[in-house]
Amino acid sequence: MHTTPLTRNAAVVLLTLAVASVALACSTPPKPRSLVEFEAMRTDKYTKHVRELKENEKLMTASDDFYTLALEAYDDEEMERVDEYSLLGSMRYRNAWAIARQKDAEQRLSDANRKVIDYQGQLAEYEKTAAEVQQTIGALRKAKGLQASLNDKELEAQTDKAAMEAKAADQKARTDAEKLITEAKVRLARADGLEAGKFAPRNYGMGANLLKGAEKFFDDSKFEVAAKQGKDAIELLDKAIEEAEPKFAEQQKIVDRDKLNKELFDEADKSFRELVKIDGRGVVITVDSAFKPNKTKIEGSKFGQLDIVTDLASKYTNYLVLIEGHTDDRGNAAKNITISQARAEAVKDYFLRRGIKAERIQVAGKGGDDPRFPNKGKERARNNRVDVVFLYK
Amino acid sequence: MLNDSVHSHPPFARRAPRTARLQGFAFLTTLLLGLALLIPTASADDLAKMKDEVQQYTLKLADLEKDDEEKGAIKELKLCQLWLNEAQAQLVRDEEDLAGKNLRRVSIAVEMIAALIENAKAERSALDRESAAISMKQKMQDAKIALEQAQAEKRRLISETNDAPNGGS
Repeated sequence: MHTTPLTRNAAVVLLTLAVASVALACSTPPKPRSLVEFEAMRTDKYTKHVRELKENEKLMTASDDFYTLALEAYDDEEMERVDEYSLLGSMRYRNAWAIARQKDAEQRLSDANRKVIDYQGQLAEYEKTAAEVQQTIGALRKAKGLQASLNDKELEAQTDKAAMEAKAADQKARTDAEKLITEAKVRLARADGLEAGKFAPRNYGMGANLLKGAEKFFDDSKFEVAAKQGKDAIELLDKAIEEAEPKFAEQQKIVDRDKLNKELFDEADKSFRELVKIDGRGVVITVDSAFKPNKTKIEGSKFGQLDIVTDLASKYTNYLVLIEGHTDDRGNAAKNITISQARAEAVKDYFLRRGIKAERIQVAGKGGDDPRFPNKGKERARNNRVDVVFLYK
Repeated sequence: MLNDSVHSHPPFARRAPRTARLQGFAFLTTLLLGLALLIPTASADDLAKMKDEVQQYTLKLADLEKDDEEKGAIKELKLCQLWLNEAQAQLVRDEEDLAGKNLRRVSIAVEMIAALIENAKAERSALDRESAAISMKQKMQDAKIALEQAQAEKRRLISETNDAPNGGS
């Protein structure tokens, strides 16, 4: 028999459908959802623990019984009963599960209680120890504070001491500076008195400037610098004094001499007028016509004048007395020298008699070479004279 | 006490194998006919008993609902209430079998709900206490750290005191 491909394919399909229908009709129906869920519940990993509880023994037995009934109902394909038994079994299982969970929760509660107690114990212990430590810390801080306070007091005392020392040092420096400045001022006054500005201008000027600087520093309370400058000023002024002193003494001597010369001159002038003069040697008093020509005996009329001269010599003891004998220009010069020398000696003798010390008296014969008066006429005789020269010592 | 009289209500009766079932069916038919006169009385007792059960379960469910502060069995309570309502309605309609079936469910559910609620309470207590334990542990650890710091401060002060120029003895 000849068949087309279409006919052959249709036969295969029909045959397949028929086989499937028969297989479907013969197979067990699928498990209802309630049973599947119940079984899943029973195979849960927690189930073992649920079963182990003694309290759950009856509940789990009941759940198992319902499960058996559900399976039987499933075998009988009575799905309504499967659902019912699965429901009741599930509820029994959940009841047991809840009890197991409750027991677990109670155990957790117990554990938590134990932990709380443990932690409370540890907390109390830590707090107690911490309180003790804090107490120690407090004591240490207090001790440290006292120590710091003590240190502060020591520091304060040291500071006070240092301040006092500084003050004392300052006072000493002030005193030293004051003393040195005073000494420098004394030196300056002495240098001024010695006219050191003139005789030792360099040292005097530097010393005076240093003294001014020292006074300024002293006013600014820079006592150490002031003292240093004061000391330097003293050194320089001392040098200036040392340098100026002989020069000043020399000058003073001249001044004194000139002053005394003037005094002597003025007094002699009262008696001798034009016969008294001051020359480079001193005061010169001329007693003219004290001798006759070629004679060495003092004219009697001249003793009055000589007495005045000796009175002056006695009064002005700072002078040496140089007695110079003179002649007029007549005669032999050598002879004149001799005569004039004798004349001077004669006057010296008179002076000695009048109490003038010999050591103050010097004599010289000048001859006729040093006329005081013109060697003419009546005036010539006046050259037979003595000049008493008051020489300042 | 489990109320697990699995075989006590017809819908849940354990069924025998099919051949035995046919024999049993004949026996049962005869027995039922023989007892036909007694049924109305027995049915009336069951009815009253079931109505009483409904009343008791109603009160019980109200108590459970009130007791479920943790809301651990809300769905279960609703479902159980639904079954109870159905049973009540079925009793009104004299559908004792169906009512019995629902009451059976309610009976088991009530025990389960009570367990769920107790579990939720226990869970809450455990969680609270665990939380307290964690908090206490934290406090303890803080105190430990504070103590360690205080001890370090103490050591430092002792060291400073000893190192001080005039300190220590």
